[in-house]
Amino acid sequence: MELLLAVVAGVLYAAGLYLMMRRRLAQLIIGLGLLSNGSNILILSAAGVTRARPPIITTPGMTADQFADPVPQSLILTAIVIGFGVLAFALVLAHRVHQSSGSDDIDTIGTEAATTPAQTPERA
Amino acid sequence: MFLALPIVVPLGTAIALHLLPQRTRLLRVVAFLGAVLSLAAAVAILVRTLSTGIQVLHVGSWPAPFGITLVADLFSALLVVMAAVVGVAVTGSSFAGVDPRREGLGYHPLIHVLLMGVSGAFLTGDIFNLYVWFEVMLIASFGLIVLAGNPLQLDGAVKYGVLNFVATALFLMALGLLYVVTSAFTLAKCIRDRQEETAIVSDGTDLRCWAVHGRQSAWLFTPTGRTPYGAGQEIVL
Repeated sequence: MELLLAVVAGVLYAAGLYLMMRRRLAQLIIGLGLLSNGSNILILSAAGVTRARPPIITTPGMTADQFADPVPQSLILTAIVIGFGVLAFALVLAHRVHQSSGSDDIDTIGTEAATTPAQTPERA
Repeated sequence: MFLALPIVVPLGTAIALHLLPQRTRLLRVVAFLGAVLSLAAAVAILVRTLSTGIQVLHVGSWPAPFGITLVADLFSALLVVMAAVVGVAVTGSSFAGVDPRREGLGYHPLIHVLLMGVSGAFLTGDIFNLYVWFEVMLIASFGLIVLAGNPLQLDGAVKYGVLNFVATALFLMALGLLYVVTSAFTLAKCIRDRQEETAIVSDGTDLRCWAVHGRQSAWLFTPTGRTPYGAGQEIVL
């Protein structure tokens, strides 16, 4: 199981990094999502996968090998929440970029901008 | 308790700045007051650290491996004071430098959230909590870079953002591997294990160094004239 998860994490990293190196903003965001999921799976598999052992002490006197370590799980939960926030920001950013430059090619963000006077900043 | 003040004061200020009526002068007074209060709290911590040594706060009275620990030794107290001094200076100079439209869009709360993240990162004694403070810092800095959203800023934000997203993934990966080896996120314990020189621990810390350096070199990668710094100057101008 660990081996399978390790391979899955590797594939997610590879796919995520490949998509992030493309020039399109939408693919970049999908890549970002894959990358953060890859990290989560990596942590889960590195910490050891357990079967039918929830991280809860149901009867007093349970030893540490009778329940799963809750720390990696809480780590992943926090990482998912933060990843969600960052992903939401990236989506809004991409939408805003598309609005202002009319393209989602990363290289044209700045150059398109120079030709659209409506978008130039107003100074105080 | 007072060890949490450099985190709680900017947070309270940021919340207050959101809730108060959005009048420029009122916002400026509150923002400056908040920055000065954070500086006072930071100096108090520095004085206490000088007189009684390392300060420790177990948040919610949870002991170290279970809860979050805030620790201030002399070095981190000095860093917090430095950050607070910079905070006061930036808040003060922004009254003349930032255009009122951006102040209305939430420049001041973002600066205070940024200060909260910086103080938190300096004070935490827990690596995973460090990751969380880095994210707080990052989100606030993203907000500041794209504030008012002119195309130059968006260009900078995309480049700064992507490099930080990759660095964040690396950091998280390093944290997970480090936890597997040391079974703890407490910095003090990880450093003890590091001295025993476990190969994977040093791999983990190297990854973490890569992640942090990646953030810094994000500035170097962006071509001149289109840097996030440029976008930042755009705000200040």
